[in-house]
This record gives sequence, C-alpha cells and structure tokens, in this order.
Amino acid sequence: MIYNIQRFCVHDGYGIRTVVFFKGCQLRCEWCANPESQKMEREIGFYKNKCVGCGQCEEICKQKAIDLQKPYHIDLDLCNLCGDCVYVCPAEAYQLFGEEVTCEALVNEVMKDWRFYKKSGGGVTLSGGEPSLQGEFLINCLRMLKRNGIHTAIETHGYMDEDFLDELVSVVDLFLFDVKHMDSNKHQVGTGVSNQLIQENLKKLAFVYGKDVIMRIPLIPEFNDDDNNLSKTALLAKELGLPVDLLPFHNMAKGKYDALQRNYKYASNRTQDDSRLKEILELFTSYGIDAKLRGR
Amino acid sequence: MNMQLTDRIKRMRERIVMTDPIICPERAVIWTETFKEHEDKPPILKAALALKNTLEKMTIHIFEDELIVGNQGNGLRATTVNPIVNTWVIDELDKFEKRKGSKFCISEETKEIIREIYPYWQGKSVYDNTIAILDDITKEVMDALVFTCGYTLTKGCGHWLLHFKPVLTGGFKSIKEQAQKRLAEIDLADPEGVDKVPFYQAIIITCDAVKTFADRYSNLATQMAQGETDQSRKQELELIAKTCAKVPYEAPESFYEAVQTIYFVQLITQIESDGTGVSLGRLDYLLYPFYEKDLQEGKITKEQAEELLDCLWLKIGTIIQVWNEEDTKSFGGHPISQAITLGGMHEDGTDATNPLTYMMLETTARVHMPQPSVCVRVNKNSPSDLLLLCAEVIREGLGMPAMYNDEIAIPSLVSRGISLPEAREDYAVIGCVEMGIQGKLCAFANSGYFNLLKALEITLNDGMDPLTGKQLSSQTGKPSDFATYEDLWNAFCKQLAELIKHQVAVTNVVDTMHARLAPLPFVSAITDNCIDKGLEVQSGGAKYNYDGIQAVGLADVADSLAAIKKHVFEDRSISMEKLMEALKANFEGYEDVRLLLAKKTPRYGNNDKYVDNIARDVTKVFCQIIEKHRNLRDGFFVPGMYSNSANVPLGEVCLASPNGRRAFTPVTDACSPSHGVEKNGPTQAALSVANLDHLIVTNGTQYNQKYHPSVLSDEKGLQSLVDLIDTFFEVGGYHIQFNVVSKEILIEAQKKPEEYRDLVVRVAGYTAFFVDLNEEIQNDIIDRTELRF
Repeated sequence: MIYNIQRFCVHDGYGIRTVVFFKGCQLRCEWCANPESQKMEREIGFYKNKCVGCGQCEEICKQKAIDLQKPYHIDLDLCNLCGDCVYVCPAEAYQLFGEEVTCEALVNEVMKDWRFYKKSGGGVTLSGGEPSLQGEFLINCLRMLKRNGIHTAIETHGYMDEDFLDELVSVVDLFLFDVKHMDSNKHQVGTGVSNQLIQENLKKLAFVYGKDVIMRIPLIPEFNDDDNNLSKTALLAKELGLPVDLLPFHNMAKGKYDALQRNYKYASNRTQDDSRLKEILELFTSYGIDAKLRGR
Repeated sequence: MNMQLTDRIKRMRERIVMTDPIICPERAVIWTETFKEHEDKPPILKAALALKNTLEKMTIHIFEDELIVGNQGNGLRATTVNPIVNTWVIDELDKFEKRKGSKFCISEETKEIIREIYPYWQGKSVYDNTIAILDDITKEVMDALVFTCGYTLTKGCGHWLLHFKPVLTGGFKSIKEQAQKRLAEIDLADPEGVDKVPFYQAIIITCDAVKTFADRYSNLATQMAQGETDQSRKQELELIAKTCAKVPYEAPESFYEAVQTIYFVQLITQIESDGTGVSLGRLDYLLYPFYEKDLQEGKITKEQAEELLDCLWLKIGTIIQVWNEEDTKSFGGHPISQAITLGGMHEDGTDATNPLTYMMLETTARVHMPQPSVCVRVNKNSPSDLLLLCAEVIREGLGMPAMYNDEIAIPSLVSRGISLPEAREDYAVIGCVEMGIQGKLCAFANSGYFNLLKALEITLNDGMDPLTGKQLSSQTGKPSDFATYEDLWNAFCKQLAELIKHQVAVTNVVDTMHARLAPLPFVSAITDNCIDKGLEVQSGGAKYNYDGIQAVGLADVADSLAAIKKHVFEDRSISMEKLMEALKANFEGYEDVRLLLAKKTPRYGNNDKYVDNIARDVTKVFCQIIEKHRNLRDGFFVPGMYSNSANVPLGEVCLASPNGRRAFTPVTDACSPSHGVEKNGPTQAALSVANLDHLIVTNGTQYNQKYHPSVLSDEKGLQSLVDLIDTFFEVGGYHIQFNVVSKEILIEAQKKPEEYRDLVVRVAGYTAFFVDLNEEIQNDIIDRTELRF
C-alpha cells in the first residue's frame, strides 16, 4: 500500500529521484509532517478551502456519509472509502490516501523516469510512512529495482529487527536514516518508541556494513532542537563518520491534519529562524561533520 | 556570473524601462510623400527612394550615455508605422492608449498626420488587395477562425535572420560595388534583364542611403562633442563620430565597430520592413573574431566588451513594433522576438561555444530586459558549464535563454533540402522557435495559426461550423456514420487537408501582395542570393524560401480523439449520439459524461502511449498536409507547433470538446499538455512532449515549463534542471523554455488554479505542483518568493 509517488525530487538523495511514499508507520511522532502516512489503512481527506459548495459529492454518496453543513463534510464512521466523491468533485477537494499496487506495477511506474536517473546519477527513494513495515513488498520492489540497475535509497526511522536490516543492506544503496532524539526517554515520549534499537541499527550500518548513510535530523521545536541534544547528535555523527541533513521544522501539514479530521499538536509552532538555523549548521560543521540544511 | 551593471548601463536601463512606447509618424509621412512623387517608378525603386528619404530626413538622436547609437523613430522607444501593411492604424488611433495590454502613447498631432496620409493608401495595401482576390468560402473559413492570417495581413513579413557576414567582411560599399558590376553587365536583349535594372538601381540607392544615415550620426556626434564639457563623454562622442563615419559602409575592423555595424543593420531592417521576429542569429559566433583580435592586441578589456554588449542589448531592447488590437490577443505583451542564437556548432560539426557565448548570457541576465530574445543551441558536445550557466540565467526569471536541440534541428533542416554544412553553421532561431538559415532565407515564418480543435469540431459536424451553422467544408460523414475509430480519423484527415488548403491560399495571396506592394531593397541587399539573381527577397531572390503554418490545440485534439476512441468505440461506455448531445449542451445536465471524458481517459502529458501516439499521429498528418504545398517563391510550406497566446482567441470559437473542455475556454498552448492533466510531474510531461516527432516540425515546436525559483535555489537544483534539459533533448525534444515565476504570478495561480496547473514549486525538500498544495503551504511559498523583477 502506497499513498503517493513524487517525481523530479531533487533534494532527497543524489540526482533526480522519484520518491515512493509507503503507507503505515509504527511510530506516532507528534510533529509528523505526513499524517496521511501513519495508518496502514486507506483514508480519505477533505480540503475545506478548495470546496466550491456544488453539492455533487453529497448527491453521489451512497453511504449518506457526506453532509455539506458539517465543516469537514465526511462522517468517517459511515464512509466506505469508495471514492465517488473524489471522482465527482470539480475542485479536487477530496483526496484518497492509499492505493494497493503490485510490485511489478510500481516498478514499471518508477522506471518511466530511468533516463532522468541515469543522466543525473539519481534513482528511486522509498519513503513513507515507514517502508520497512511492508517488509516483503519492500524487499521485492528493491530487488526488482536493483535488477534494473537503479540506484535505491530508503528513508527510514530505523526501527526494525536485525534480520530485516541484514536483508535490506543487500538491496539498498543509500540509507536516509532519521535520528530524532539522543535521549531514550524523550524519544519514547515524542515518537512512542525507545531509540535503543534504532541507534544499534544505525551503528551496525555504519560500522559493520560500511553502507552509504546520511543521518537526517528533523529539527523539532521544544523537542530536539536545543544545543544539548544537537551536540550529542553531532558527536554520534562524528563517531560514525556520517554526513548529516538538517531538516528545519515546518507546520505545513496543518491542512492535512484538518483534512483528515485529526488534531495537530504542532499547528501553531513556527519554523526555526534563519539565524538559529545558521547556528545549528555551524554547531555540526564545528565537529568537522559534512552537514547540510534541507537535504542534498 | 558577473551581475554588476556599470553606472552608465544602470542609468540607460532606468531611462528605457521608465519610458512608455510612442507611435512616430515620420516614416509613414516620408514614405507617403515619396510614393506620391514617384508614382511612375517600379515598386522596388519607390521603396528604395522611400527608405533613402527616411534615412536622410527622419529625426535622429544620440541619447545620454550611449556608446552604440541609432534610433527607430523620434523618441527613445518609438515605433514606426507602415501604411502599406498597417491599414488598421487609421481605425485604432483613439484606442492605442486605452488597450488592456501592449499600450502605446500617441499625440493628437500624430493622429492628425496619420489621418491626412492614410487615404492615399486606400486600395494600395496588402490587406485590401488580398481580400479583393480571395474566394468567399476561404474568407468564411478564415472568419470562423479555423485559421488566422492576421499577422501577415496587417504587418510586414518580419522574421528575417539577418545576414551580417557580407556587411562584417566588406561593408555596404562592397555590396554596392557588386550591384554596380551586375548592372553594367545587364544585356537588355535578354528579357530577364529588364526587371533587374531597377532592382540593382534600388540596391545602389539603398547602400548610399545607409552611408548617409550613419554619416548623420557621425556629424551629430561631432557637434555634440564640440559642446561637451565632460572630457570622458567628449572622447566617447568623438569615437562615435569616427565609428559612424566608417561603418556600416566600410567593413568594421574592431569589436566596437562590429557591434555598431550589427545594430545599424538590425535597426534599418526594422525601419524598412515593419515586422516582428527580425532576428540577429549567431552573434557570439560572428563577433568572436573581432573580440579575440582586439583582446590579443590589447585594444579592449573584457569589462569594456561587456559594457558594449550591455549597450547593444539595451539598444535592441528599445526597438518596438505595434500590432493591431485583435492581434495583441494572439501576441500578448510586446513580443518583438528579436532572437539571438548562441552556442551551436561549426560547419564540420564541432562545438562552436566561445567566450562571447558566456559573456552574452551574462549580459542577458544582467540587463534583464524582455528583448532581445536569447536562444541557446545545444548539441551533444556542448560544454557542461555552458548548460549550467544557462540554468543560472533561467533562474533569474526572464524565461531566457530558451534551449534548442541541434540534434533535431540539423537533420530537420537537411530533410528540407538544406546542405549539412549550412544546416550546422547557419541554423539559428527566427522569432520564437522557427528553424532558420541565417542570411539565406526568406521565410514568412508566421503565416498564421491553424485551429486543430476547430477542425475536429467541423469533422464531428459533417463539415459544418456548429457555432454559426455554416457549411464550411465537404461532408465527410455524420458522427453516427462512423462505425470505427478509423472512420472518424479518416474523416478528420480529409477535413484537415481541405481546411488547410484555404490557409495556404490566403498565404500565397498575401505573400504575392507583399512582394508586389512592399518590396524590401535593404533586406534584399544583404540576403544570399538576391544580388546574384537580381531579384527582390520576397519575390524569390533568397537562396531558400519557406512559409510556416502553426498548429494550435494539439493536446485538446489528442485527448478528445483518445476519449472518443476509448469510450465510444472500445469500451462503448457512451454512445456517439449522447456525446454529441453533451457537447452541444456544453455539458449542462451531462456532468457525468464530462467526468467520464475528462477523468477516465488517458491524457497527453502523462507519458501514456495510448494518447501520446495519437498526438504523434495528429502531428504527422498535419505536417504531411502542410509540407506538400508549394509557395510563391518556388519554395515550400513548413509545419510549426507554437501558439504565442493564439490559444485564447482560437478557443473562443470552439464549443465544448470531447476531452471535457467547456465551450469558449482557451485551447492548449503550443505542444503543452492541457492544464490540469499532468498528474505525473515535469519529467513525465516532458517525455510525452518528446514522443512527438519533432524532426518533421521544421517551423519549430514550443514547450514551456514553469518553476518557482525555490526549485533552482542551489547547485543541485541547477544541475537537475540541466539534466532535465539534457534528457529531454536526448529523447528527441526540440525546444524547451522555463518560466521561473514571480510572487504576483503565484497569487494569481491561487485565484485561478485551472490556468496554472503545471506550475512546479519546491516545498520543503521536494517539488510539487503549486495548485496541488493547500492554502497554508501556498501562502508560505508566496512569502518565500524573492525574485528580482
């Protein structure tokens, strides 16, 4: 199950890449920028500000789940995710998240851009959600991509058992590995899981397998963007000899939380200002780390 | 990239940008007086004398700070009018200042002068003489906007790709000598000699007039120098005086003289010919020997050369042309289209990029003017740093340089009978995207737009225009008669052939009238092989001759045919009768049908062969029909696929179409996919466009992509753009240009998402279609826009 394919991505790993977003994640990060990615099941969203009020959705809905008078139209308990409202809406105010695809169909789809990968030194990045949650499907896709000579990257939270990691290593060229907090308790609070397994996996990738790994640090206000935690993160990167991508916080997901009728804890937080971002970047570079803002 | 303007250039630029264009009547007055005085003379002599009198009598200026001199009309931005072709001016005198776009200032005095002289031209114009001769049915088809011929009916041919080589090597002096020699050799016992006499006389008069014109600037500069107290400006004026006393009559020797020569030739062409798309071709290639020599001899520094190029760009930027109000809809803004083509190759196929290529690109970014229109020829040996610099200049938001693929253009020209060395060395862009041969070609490159969607509409109505109920074409079968998709396709091909023939007829009549009524001795003097043949350029004097007709609405037609093929003939999910009812009703009460057509059909722009191959077939059949027609000058017609903004008026005559498009809305522009259907991003859209057979579209295809500057904010973004261009060219694309958009456009896109469906922006770490983003993200991106305009 995937929920999006994004082409011509130029800041998610090397070259021109296609990013495939897998649906479902074990973590529940409070700041998650892709709330539509968290659940394994298909979901529907309604973007209020796009609606032109024509009422075609209400008319077509067999489940009687749509009521134009309600702020978010859809009664999610009644909705059976048939997608009729998505089809009739002239304003594209409804969106279904989640599509079952076969491995062959997905690989065919992303291979349409092979010339761009080849020209630019790019490839395919599997992201999410958490791709490793769909283990067998993920491995099959990656194998097929490798047979086609495509550079593969995975964006992962790193929370997976050791055996699976061993399997992944043989078919992934680049790991974009999230490091969210150095303190295990804080990590538990912010994401729902401890960081212990994650850090073990990261070290194994770097030391045992010597894989191409980029540490990705989402900079979350009042959670992990203080000097204390960032210094510890920088020390880890230095110890492992890994480059770091620093991803400034943004609250652009607010619209999606609203569309999915969910609460967003970070709705009113703002992004770090430029001077703070510069400080953070300098903190990392002062350790001799190859650090970049907003990916590479 | 050197973005630092000198103080001189800053001041000059400011003055130009702050000056509203005006209409200057001087040329029209002098032309009228001359024609009245010499009514007994052959047209070519009348034209030469009119040009001579204009160059001798028009008001000239050397504006403050200028190093390169020459003015088109009496003002800093002053267009001339040509009553032989601009018949419409008299009816629009009071409208110029009230237009929604492309405004001109005009004084009451000018209006009065024009009212006085115009009656003389009644019945003597290209327009009057063309309309008088056309069949009623051809006029009806044209009035129905199945095609337009507004451009050549109301403007000069333009679209010259000027031959600087003979002027740079021998000056007008040597051209005059050749004409004198030919004139002396004429044997009147040979009947062909008779018309050659006035032709050569006209060339001689013209060459002398060019000398007089330059001398006037020389004298003016000398006078100004005498009164000048500032010593450095005094020296500059003395240099202008010395330069204009020499060029373009004598051949230039220095880089400075060569640049002044180029400008004089460009300027006089504009004054003589009244037309847009007067293009300068390969300036980096032609000027490099002068620059290299001066640099080696220590006569010029790189900085001085840069300032001269900036001056040239600004001077070209002051040239302006006026359109009638109707045509400003098809040609929005002031698209004067003075194309300069950089890069490219030598005649032996090796890459020709030189230091001036880079300097001229930097000038383009630095002076930041909408004119000249800068194009770059890319081939498989183009240096990678050239492409990166192009990307950097593109980021500046001018939509320039536009990128062109040598690997398509050269074989395309060769397939039209042009020799391989000429195709390699002399190919340059005319106007927008048209493939030209510099100095050897007479191309009525924009002989109008053909409305593909209207042709399909007429096919679906058995030869009738459903908008007016008039039968415009043969009956090729009612929709219900089509048993298979092939039946429909064959009827469409028949209609195309019949309708295009009307456009060819108009074009050939218009061309004939231009040749007879508005001959061009100046352009003839420099174009190969006019002097050899003793024949005016529009009458067949040029070595190569073609006329270009452009198809508009490709995506609408491809998507419509795909929808009918799939839903009516394959899936049988809708009957032909119901489809026709829905179209007639503009989908009122048939929203289910519209959704089926629009959303359940493969759409061009998503790299889906089902529909992309239909688009390819439409292109192919259009090209085959166009290219079998011959033109006036023993040349041929070449197909093009670009639209400027003609997609808007052409859409206004089309009812609802089978791709779900509603009545009277614009058809798609150029080769672009329909707005709102490219669901798979810029790479897949580019592959769809590249699937067309660009090689057979010799008058050029045009493809635009839009980006927000955030996509190109860093090295990685620039390199990715280069990789995109490179890949698009590798798979067979011909032209691509990028609009890097402003904050204002983004705000507009928020209001009218349907028109900006293909606008790409970078969000956080990825790129996306702007209109796909929710309002918060859109606002965030709008806030982040920092473009200088």
